[in-house]
Parts: sequence; structure tokens; C-alpha cells
Amino acid sequence: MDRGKRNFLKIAGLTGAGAYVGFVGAEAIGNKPGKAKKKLALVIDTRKCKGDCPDCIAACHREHNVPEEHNPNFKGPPVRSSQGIKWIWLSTFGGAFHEQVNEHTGRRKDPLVVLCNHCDNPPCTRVCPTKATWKRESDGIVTIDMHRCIGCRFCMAACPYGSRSFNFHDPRKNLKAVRPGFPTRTIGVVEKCNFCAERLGEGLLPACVEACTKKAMSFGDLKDKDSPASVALRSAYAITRKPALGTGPEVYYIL
Amino acid sequence: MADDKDIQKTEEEYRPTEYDYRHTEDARSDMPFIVLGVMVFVALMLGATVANRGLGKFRSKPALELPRDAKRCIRDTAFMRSNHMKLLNDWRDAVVRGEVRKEKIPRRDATGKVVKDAAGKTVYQTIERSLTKTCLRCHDNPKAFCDRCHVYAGVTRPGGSLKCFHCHIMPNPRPRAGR
Ligand code: SF4
Repeated sequence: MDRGKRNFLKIAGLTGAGAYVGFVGAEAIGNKPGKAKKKLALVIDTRKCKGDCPDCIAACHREHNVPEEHNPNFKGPPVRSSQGIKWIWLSTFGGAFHEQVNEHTGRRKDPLVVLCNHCDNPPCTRVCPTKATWKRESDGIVTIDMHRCIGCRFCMAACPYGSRSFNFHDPRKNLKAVRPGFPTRTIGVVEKCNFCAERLGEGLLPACVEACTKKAMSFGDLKDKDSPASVALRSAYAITRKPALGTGPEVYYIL
Repeated sequence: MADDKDIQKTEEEYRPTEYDYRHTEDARSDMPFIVLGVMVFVALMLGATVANRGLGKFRSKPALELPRDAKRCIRDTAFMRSNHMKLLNDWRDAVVRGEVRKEKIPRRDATGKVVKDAAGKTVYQTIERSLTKTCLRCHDNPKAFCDRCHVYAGVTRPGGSLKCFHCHIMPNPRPRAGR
């Protein structure tokens, strides 16, 4: 075997081995599903929720100073529908569960409440170049550090559920009343549902869960067998959105 | 052949000559323009400085509005004056990334001395690491405190405000005498 070929094979072998080690190492330090100490989840019972009030959306957006500009009843200056900010909003059964739709299920017309799934294995956090978004190890909430977000919107491209919105303009312009207890965002950052991390810290339930008059939402730690979410999931059959993608959504829908 | 001739010619033509520029007519006629230019430059620079602050105000400190009822800060004044931005950054990282909202600080009496209990141990109090809930509870008018000093120090442009307040909400200042 001539020298050149021999060296080439050696280098190729080393490169392959290096790539393998790098890959395994990246897996080890990267997003490992199920690492969080708690596994906070939201269970939405669509037998009770018909998406017709929708008190949860109003409560969430009031709580977090989210401009209601995506709302069809919004009365401010027009905003392109793709540029409206939303944390929790209404979709359709087909929109949320497009793999489940066939010509017969298509008749299911009730709107469905959707939000960030706080995925077990979130693709959005992997792509963030500044580590401005990550999955909290304490409770599994996928959160954003607004101070660090540079507004590149990679996370918006990575999220398969469209859960993230970008501030194309100053959000205070379209806020009727600013609630002093929570910061607004600024132009040029991405935002989304934070599972009410600030309320959980004070021992409160998420604003949507608290506001739901139909008691259709159960929230809690799935690692705790007695939490409302665990109890609700044991009581009925529930599905998640796009399970085949392997993101491990933590928002469940009882049908 | 032609090349040689050219080279010769070039050397003759471009041989440097001794030349003293100081005594030419040209230089003397430029003098008024130079003086005028320097004067215009000085006037512009001075004008800009005066327009910005006014010469007399250079040494006077900005009149900051201090908290009305609170007497002691969470750190002493000298520390806060030089390190408040670092403290705020540390608080931000601790709360947002470390998820630790509370902090223990030594309790101080009205004279600023650390309070000790009967056994001589320092007494601590717990505060929340929060710009809006802790700092702005006493400094209820950031426009007359943060902004005024930052403009004086050239951190923000006159009339501008800190980026903090693009998101964090300024409190409504409580009414007080002389405002
Ligand atoms: S739903 Fe989207 S934004 Fe939320 S954690 Fe999953 S990938 Fe990230």
C-alpha cells in the first residue's frame, strides 16, 4: 500500500472517530430529555373547553402585557397577522393536530387553545446562538432571557408549533393598559408563554388555569403522582401535538 | 538606444532641488486662512461644549432626587455609586438564570451601622433582587435620579432614558413637596 493512501486512511479514520466522540459529547452536554427535576405540564380537557370564552387568553395577555393585536376584536392600528404577538391563542383541531385529520374528523369545528408546549426536548433552545432561551433544570419551563435575546429568530424557525412571536415594533404602542407588575418587551426580541414562571415563584397557578371558569385546565408536576395534571392524565386518554417529531410536548389534550 | 536616452532625461528632470518653502509668497498668503480656520474650529468646539452643558455648570453635580422616606440603601453610597450597574447585572443573572430571587443583607440602623443582636451576631434581612420591586420602591422617580445622573455622566443622551425602562416599567412618582 503506498504511503499516501495509508496516511489518507489513517486521517480519515481519526476524523471519523473524532466526529463520533464530538457527537456523543454534544449529546451528553446538550438537551437531554427528562433531565429537569420537575416536569410541569398543562392538561387541557377539550370536553369542557370549547374555545368559546376565551377567558384564559384575556387573562394571560393582561397578566403579561401582551398586546391583543392578533385578536380579531383588536381595535388598534392594523398589524399584519404574521406580526401579532401571542402567548396563548385559538387554533382549529386540524391546525393543531393535522396528522389526525381525515375527511370525517374534519367536521370537528371547535377552536382549540394552543400555547408553547414547554417541550421535553425543545428544538428552539438548541438553535439559540446566544443561549438566551433554555429549558430550566428546576422545573422544565422553556424560558427566554430577554436581556440576552438578539432577535435572530432562529428559535421561531425551529419551533414546529409557531409558539414564538417577534416584536416587530414597540409593543407598548398597542397596549391599552400596562400592568406595572410585569415588564413589557422591547422591539427586536422574541417572546412566548413562560408557563407563568413568575406566578409559580409566588405559589400561584398560571393565569390561564386560574382564569378558566370551566375548569378545563389542570396544571402540575407530572413527576408528582398526585398533582392535578397527573390525576387528569390518568383519568382520560390524552394526546399531544406532533408527537412524531420527538419534541415531547408537555401540553396535553383530552379529547 | 531610445531607452537610455529616456533614463538620462528623467534623471535630469526630476533631480530634487534645494528649496526653502518658508520664504515664498505662497506661504505668507496662506497665513490668514490658517488662522481663520483655527478660530472657526475653536469656536465650533467651544460652541458645542457650551450648548451641551454651559461652561459654568461643568463642576456642579446634578441635582438628584433622593428617596423621600427611605434612609438607607441596600449597599452603602460609595459602593452604589461605582458598582450599581454591576450589582444590577448580578441580580439579573441570579434571578433569570440562577432562579434565586431573594438575597440576605445585614440590617443597618438609621446611622448606617450594622445591627448586632445580644450575642454580637450580625442581624440579617431578606430583600428581593428586583429593579422594580426593590430599587424603584424607594427611588420612585428614575427620571430625576437614574436619568439625571446618566445624562450628566454622558451615559445617556440628554432627554434619553436607560434601556432598562424599554421593558421594565417606571413607577408613577409619589407626590412630594417641591416637585
Ligand atoms: S413549543 Fe416551540 S417554543 Fe415551546 S418549547 Fe416546544 S419548540 Fe420551544
